[in-house]
Amino acid sequence: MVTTQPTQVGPNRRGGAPTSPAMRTARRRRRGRLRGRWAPYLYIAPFLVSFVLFFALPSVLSLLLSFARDNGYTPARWVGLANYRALLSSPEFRQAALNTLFYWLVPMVPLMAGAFGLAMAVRSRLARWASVCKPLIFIPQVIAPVSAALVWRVMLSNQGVLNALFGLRTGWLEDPAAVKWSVAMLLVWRGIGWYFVVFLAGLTNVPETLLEAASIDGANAFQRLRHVIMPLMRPTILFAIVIDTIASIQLFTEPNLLLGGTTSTAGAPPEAAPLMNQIVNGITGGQFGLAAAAAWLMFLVIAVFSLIQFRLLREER
Amino acid sequence: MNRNPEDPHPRRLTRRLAPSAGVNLLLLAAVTVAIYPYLVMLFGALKSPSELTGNPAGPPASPTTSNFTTLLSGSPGSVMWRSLGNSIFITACYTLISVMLSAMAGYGFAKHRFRGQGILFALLIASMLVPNEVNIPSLYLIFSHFGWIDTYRVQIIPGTASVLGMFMARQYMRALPDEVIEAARMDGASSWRIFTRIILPICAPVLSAIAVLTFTAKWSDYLWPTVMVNSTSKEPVMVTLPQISTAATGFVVDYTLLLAGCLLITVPLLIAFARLQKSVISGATAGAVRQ
Repeated sequence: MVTTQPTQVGPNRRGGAPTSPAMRTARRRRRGRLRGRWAPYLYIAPFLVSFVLFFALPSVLSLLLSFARDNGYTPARWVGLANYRALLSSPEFRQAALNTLFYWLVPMVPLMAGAFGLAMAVRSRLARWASVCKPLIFIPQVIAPVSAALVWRVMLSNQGVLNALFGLRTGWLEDPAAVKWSVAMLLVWRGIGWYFVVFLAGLTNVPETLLEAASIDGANAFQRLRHVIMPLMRPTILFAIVIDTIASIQLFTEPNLLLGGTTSTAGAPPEAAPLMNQIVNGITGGQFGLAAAAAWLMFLVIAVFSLIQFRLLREER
Repeated sequence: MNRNPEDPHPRRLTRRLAPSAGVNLLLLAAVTVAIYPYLVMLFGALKSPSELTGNPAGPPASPTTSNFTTLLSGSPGSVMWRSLGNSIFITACYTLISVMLSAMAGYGFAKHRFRGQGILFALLIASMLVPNEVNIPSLYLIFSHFGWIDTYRVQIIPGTASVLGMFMARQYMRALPDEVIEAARMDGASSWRIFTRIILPICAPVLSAIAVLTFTAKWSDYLWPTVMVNSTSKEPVMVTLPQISTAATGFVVDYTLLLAGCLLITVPLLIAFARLQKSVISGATAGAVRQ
C-alpha cells in the first residue's frame, strides 16, 4: 500500500488536468534544477575523461607493470619485486641516481641564493632600472631547453666562448670530471630567472611598513633580513626548493643534448646520464617493467620531498 | 632617485651612493650573464663555421646569412619546414584543447555545487604529486597496442587535462560575483551560453596565462616526442633541430647552422614574451604565493 502511493501521486501531478500557471512555473523550475544538477558533471566530464584515460589509468597500470616482466610482445609475467631489486643493484642505475643527486644539489645553492639576492636587489629602492632588470633577468627562461643546451654547447666546446674568453683549455663537454659541472652551469643560467620572479612575488608579501618599523626599532639590514624578511618568505622558499627538487628529478633534456656529442643523438655518457635515461632506456630496450619500476622509484623520492614541504607549511599555520 | 637635487638631506646621499653602486653593479652583471648567451646565438648564426672557431665570443666581422639559406633550403630545409609546421600544428591544437578543458572544468568546480565535489577536487590536486614521467612506460605500451605511436594524435591528445590549468581557472572564476551569472540566467540565457558569452570573456587574463604556459611547455617539450615519435615526418622541431647538422654536413656538427636554427625557434618565443610579459611571469609563478 505504501509503495503504490508515490506512483499514484506521480501521474496525477504530471498529467493532471488542472495546470495552473503557478504549477507550470514550478515544473519549469524543477526541470531547470535538474539540468542544473547535471551541468557541473557535463563541464567536468571532458577534463575527467582525458585525465582518467591518459593519467589515472596509466598510473595504475604503470604501478602494476613495475612488478612484472613485459617486453611488449609476449604476455606480462608477475615477478614481484625483482625489477626493483635489479635496479637497486645495477651500477648504471646507481650512477644515474648519483648524477641526478648532483644535478639537484649543486645548482640549488647558486640558484636559490642568487635568485633571492637578485630579488632583494630589484626590490630595494637602490635599484635604478628595476622594471627593466626584471624581464631581462627572467629571459633565459624564455628559450627552450633544447635551444639552451645547443647554445651552451657553443659556449663550452673546446674552441668555445668560455675557453676563448678566459684563455682556458678545459674540455667542458668531454672531460669526465667537468661534464656534470657544465650541465650545472646551464641549469643555473636557465633556472635563476624563474626563482627570481618567484622570490620577487614572495617579497610582495613583506609589507614595507614592517621593515620601516624594524629599522626605527634599530634593526640593521642583516637583522631585518634575518628576523623580518626570512620568516615571511619561508613558504615561498620552501615552495621554490620543492619545485627545484621535482624539476631536478625529472631532468632529461639538458644533460642529454649538452653532452650529446657530435651526432647530437647519442645522449649523455653514463657518467653524466640523469635518472630519466633509465626510464627511456628501459622503454627503448623493451624492458617495460624495469622502466616502470625506475619511474616509481623516482616518484617515491618526489613524494617524500613534497610531503616534507606540506609538513613544514602546516607547522607554520 | 637619490640624485634628486631637491633631496633635503644631502649628506645621506653620499652615504647611500656606495650600496647603490653595489646593487646596480650586481644587477648589471646578472643582466649581462642572462643576455650574453643570446648574443652568442645571434652572432654565431651570422658567422661562417671558420669564423666561429676563431672568434666564438665576439660579434661577426663579416656577417653572412648563408646559415639561414642552408638551413631553410635543400634537404635540411625540407626537414626544418616540415618539423616547424608539425610543431606549430601540434602545439596549437594541444593548447586549444587544454585551455578549453581547463576552463570548463574550472567553471564546473568554481560555480557549481555537486555530490563528490570536495573529494574529486582533492584527488585531482593530490595527483599533481605524480609526475607525468611515471606513466610513460605504461602509456608507451598502451599506445603501441592501439597504433598511436608515431602519430600526431599521440602528440596532441594525451596530457591535455592539466590540473594546474584547471586550478588556475577555478581560482579566478571563484572570485567572480555570482550576480553576473544570476542576472544572465534571469534573462533566459542557457548555462552553456552564459559560459561561452560571459564567463570566458571575463576570464581572458587567466586563460591567456594558461595558454602561454601550456604553449611554451608543449613547444619546448623534448622527452615526449623523443619517446613516442620516431619518423622525421611527424617529429617536432625540438627533436629534428639537434640532428639537423648531421644530415647536412655528414656527421660533423655545424654549430653555426645549429645556432641559426636556435635563433629561428627562439625569436617567436621572445616576441611572445615581449608582448605577454605580465601573463608569462604571473603564469610561471602561479601557486608561488599563497593567497
